[in-house]
Amino acid sequence: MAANLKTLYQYRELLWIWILREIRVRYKQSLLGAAWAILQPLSMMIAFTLVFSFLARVPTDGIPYPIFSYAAVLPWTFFSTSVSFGVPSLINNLNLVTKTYFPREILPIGAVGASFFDFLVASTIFLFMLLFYRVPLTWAAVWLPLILTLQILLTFGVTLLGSAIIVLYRDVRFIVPLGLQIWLYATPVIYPVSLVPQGFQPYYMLNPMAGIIDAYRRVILDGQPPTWSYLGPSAAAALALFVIGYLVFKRLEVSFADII
Amino acid sequence: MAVRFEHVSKRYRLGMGRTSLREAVSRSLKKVLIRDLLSPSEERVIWALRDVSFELPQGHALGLIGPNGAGKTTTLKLLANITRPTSGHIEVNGRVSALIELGAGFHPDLTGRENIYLNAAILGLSRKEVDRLFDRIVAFSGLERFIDTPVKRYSSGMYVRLGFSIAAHVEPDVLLVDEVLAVGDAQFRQRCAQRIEELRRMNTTIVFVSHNLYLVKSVCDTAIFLADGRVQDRGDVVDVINAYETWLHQAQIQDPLRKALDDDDPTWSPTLDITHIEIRGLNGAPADGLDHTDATEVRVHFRAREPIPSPNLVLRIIRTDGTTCCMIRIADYGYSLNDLEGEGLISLAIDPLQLAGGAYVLDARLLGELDGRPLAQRFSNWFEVTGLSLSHEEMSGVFVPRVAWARVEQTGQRSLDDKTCLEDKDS
Repeated sequence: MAANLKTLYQYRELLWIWILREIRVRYKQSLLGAAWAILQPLSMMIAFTLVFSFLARVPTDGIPYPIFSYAAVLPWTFFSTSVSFGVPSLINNLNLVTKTYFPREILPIGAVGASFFDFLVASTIFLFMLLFYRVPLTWAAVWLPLILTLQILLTFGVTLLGSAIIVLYRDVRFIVPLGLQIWLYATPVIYPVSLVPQGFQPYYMLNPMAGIIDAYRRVILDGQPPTWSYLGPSAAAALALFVIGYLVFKRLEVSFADII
Repeated sequence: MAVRFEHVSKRYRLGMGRTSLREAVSRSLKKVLIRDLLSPSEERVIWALRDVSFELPQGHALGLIGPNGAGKTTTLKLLANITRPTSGHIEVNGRVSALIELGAGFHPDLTGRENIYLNAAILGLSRKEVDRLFDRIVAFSGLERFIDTPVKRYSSGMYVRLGFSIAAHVEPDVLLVDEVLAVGDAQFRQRCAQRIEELRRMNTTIVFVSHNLYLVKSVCDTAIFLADGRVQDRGDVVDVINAYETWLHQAQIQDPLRKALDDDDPTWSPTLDITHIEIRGLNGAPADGLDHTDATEVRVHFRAREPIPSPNLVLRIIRTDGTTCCMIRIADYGYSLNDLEGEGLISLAIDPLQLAGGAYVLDARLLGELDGRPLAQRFSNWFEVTGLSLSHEEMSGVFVPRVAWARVEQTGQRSLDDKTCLEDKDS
């Protein structure tokens, strides 16, 4: 694992260039360009607000629904675009895999990196929303880097695992959009964790994204440190998924060029 | 040692593209239930390389030659770490650049400039190095005007030129080149060959795969001849190329012969044979030292145990790649052989020979007078012709015409095109 990370470090320039390429390619020849990075989570938030605030009235612990949902939609979009671009990254670049050599994880990790750029762009809207709804940032915001790191590790884990398996089984192509849809409902994006029945919560929290999304809301909207009983297991799961994903990826990498 | 290849074997499974989960599940079920009895074809394997070993010191250039499917590209892919050996051990010291496909990783939507940075990074160049080399790369490609155009608007020639320009400026310790010089125009190929020569002087270790034996000869000191995944011959580049050419000639002479015999088996006459074919220069040159300017005689010896009425003699001159360079039928020239009986020979003079440089074989057939069914057939031995240019036969064409040069001044003349246009307007 350490040796692999060292090789990856040697290829950091290629990784960086690959991320830039992914960002460029994503919005080349599109009319609105990088504005899509904002429009996607924004329109999702508006749709959720219409359905779950005007029609269905989901309780939000007293927080205005638009900012309540955007605080979760933003990191969720980062996660879901990373996975949907990262998982097919190897099979979409077949020529590179069969004709050139570099550590293959650069492709899925690059897709995550490009999605992170989108995430940063879309975050600017969030800053305006904080001002508009007069939500003060507190010292609790120092937890943000930790939460973000955990989310990135989890994203790497899922993406590496998926991109390696899709080389063997193209079924993954169909599983990804479906899985992400279901995963969204299993995560407190459109509703608060408090809505989940107490007795069911231990199972609910097996989903590592649940603890992470809840932690974002806690530290930004509530100005409180994360609920450790929620974030702790998520952190362990994220770390485990990352290690497993990376090891599986490196193990299968040897045969990528032969079976892709 | 820059490169060490020890007892390397590589096995590929055919039909192994396990593309769906359902297939994989049913496959393992089948395995359990019927133990592969019904699906032996699924386990077909192919050995791309079998127990291949070689070493290459720093600064040396090795040529890999052999027919398609011999394992040449597999060897490069193993050296480049793109794929791993099934067994054996591979050691490569220093920075490796593999030119297996030019412009691999170009994205059509990105501009030439953006693709240069990306492709160079894949080949192992750092950003600083690319910054430094950028102008030279662009100048080498000759694409200054198009460098900010997306490469999807490039012609395939421009695409390849950009690809090679990047590759040519990589300064690796070990360079792996796979047939990438076969593309582009002659002038560009020339520059590519020059650049490889420069890299050689810079003590770069080179492993070079090409079907262009002339190029292999000029780039490499030693060569390995691979066929069917095994080393057939190794050593000095000239010797190995000779061994390969001999092998090629034999393989190709056997193939059409077998086909011809299979196709026409029942029609061969039991009483007529072509016993021998002689090819020689009328100035006394032997068959393996003909020049394209030589007057050449072909003698077809036959033996007929009973009289054969007026057969037609057909001669085809065939190049190593199987191309028929010309077909000569005696009937087309208004000659008739009359009746063949006993032993004798038919002589044909070709003056001058006019074949481009290379190796050829002559296919002689005697056909029945009325029905044209083949009665007897024989291939000559291979004969070598020295052409006008030294380049490889497939590139210099099939024949060397007799030409006359003159320089004509064009003042006041109307070109052919102008005339055609005028005529078109009139009609």
